[in-house]
Amino acid sequence: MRSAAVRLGVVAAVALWAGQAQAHKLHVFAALDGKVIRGEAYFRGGGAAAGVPVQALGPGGEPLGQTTTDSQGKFSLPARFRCEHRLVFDAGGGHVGEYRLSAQQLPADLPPLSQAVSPDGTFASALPSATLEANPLPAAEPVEKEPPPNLSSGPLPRDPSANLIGSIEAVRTQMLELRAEFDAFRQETRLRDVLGGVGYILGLMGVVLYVVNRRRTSQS
Amino acid sequence: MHLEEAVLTVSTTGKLLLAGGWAAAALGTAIGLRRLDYQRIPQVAMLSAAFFVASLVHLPLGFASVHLVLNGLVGLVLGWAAFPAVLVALGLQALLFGFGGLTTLGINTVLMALPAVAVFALCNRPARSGPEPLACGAAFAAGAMGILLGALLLAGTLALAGSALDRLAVVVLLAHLPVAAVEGFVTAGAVLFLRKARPEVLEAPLVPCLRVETFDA
Repeated sequence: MRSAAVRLGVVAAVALWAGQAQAHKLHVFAALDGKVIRGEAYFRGGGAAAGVPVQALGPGGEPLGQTTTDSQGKFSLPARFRCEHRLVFDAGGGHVGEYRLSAQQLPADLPPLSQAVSPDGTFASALPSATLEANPLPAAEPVEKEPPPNLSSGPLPRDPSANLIGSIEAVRTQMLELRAEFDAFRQETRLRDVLGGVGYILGLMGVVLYVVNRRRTSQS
Repeated sequence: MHLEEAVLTVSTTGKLLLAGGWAAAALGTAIGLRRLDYQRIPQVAMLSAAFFVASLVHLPLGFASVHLVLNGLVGLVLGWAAFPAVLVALGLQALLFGFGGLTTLGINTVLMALPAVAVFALCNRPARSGPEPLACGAAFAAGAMGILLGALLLAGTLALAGSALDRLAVVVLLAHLPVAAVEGFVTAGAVLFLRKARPEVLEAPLVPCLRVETFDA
């Protein structure tokens, strides 16, 4: 039984260490920031999914654009049409992810998909990765950030609507961040999941032992 | 190595594969349970728990994500009883971690437990009773083969379902090469330890399993 105890110890140690290790289900999140779709892809358990191709598809599967995630698993794509966007991620080996943005979430001043400008209805190209690095998701304290320049630098410090728009912007940014954080939190593999699973297996073992033992004693 | 739910449900062949996976997993689990010795139930549970946790040990390889599977070790020790052990562990992984899914539980069980049974048939005897260098090599081969055979099955399944054909089999196999090496070392270490500390762990399953297998063949 000593080796069983040793093995259980090893399992527990691995479990503790693995609490922070990333697992591999691809999880994706996206939201609109003005007319830009921003989001990130990560593996369930917390690790960023870098270099994963992202494809935006319309409601009928029309290609609306594509890009790849940066080293932090983040991406951004310009939204050019007001229609449902299906963001498809494929990290290879059967690891796929999908996220849907409904047409209502896109700004109303975007043209509908039927007014596609380019002949093939596709976007020109993905944003270069340098742009992505320069424009990550908004930083942690958006309240302390400067309001958009047209609000702060304009000669309208006494215009109450400007302040109002500024605070709405701040609240919106915070909400987007909260949504992303909440989503990530929900997907995180936590120690209690690991311990719960091991507990289930041990419990199952107990049930099987009980049933088999009862059968054996009733037979003899 | 886990197949996600969305991958196979898109095509008819994929749905057939899902159903076939369930049937094969049920058959394997039935065989495993029939050959399961009373004294080995705790061992099955222990290895099932190890398998369950090992999937969280992740090796980062670019955007491909691979993790320890330990199906070679599970097969080497358990033989056919690897099927129930893997089924339980995968079911819990699907429920608690979201790896794979409940519809793909059957085929995922086959992808990982079938190589385990093959490993048992090929490597258990040298790993158990061979001289130490041979046992070491056999255990390494067991760990690596568990992964590589599983990756082959996975690539075959994906090819049959017709998903992402351009970068399919080769990428899947290449991505699993490093993890196969790591698994080989882990399995060799575990077997060397077991041979010294608890040799009966490696021998116990051979009594019920090998007898039946020789008669089957």
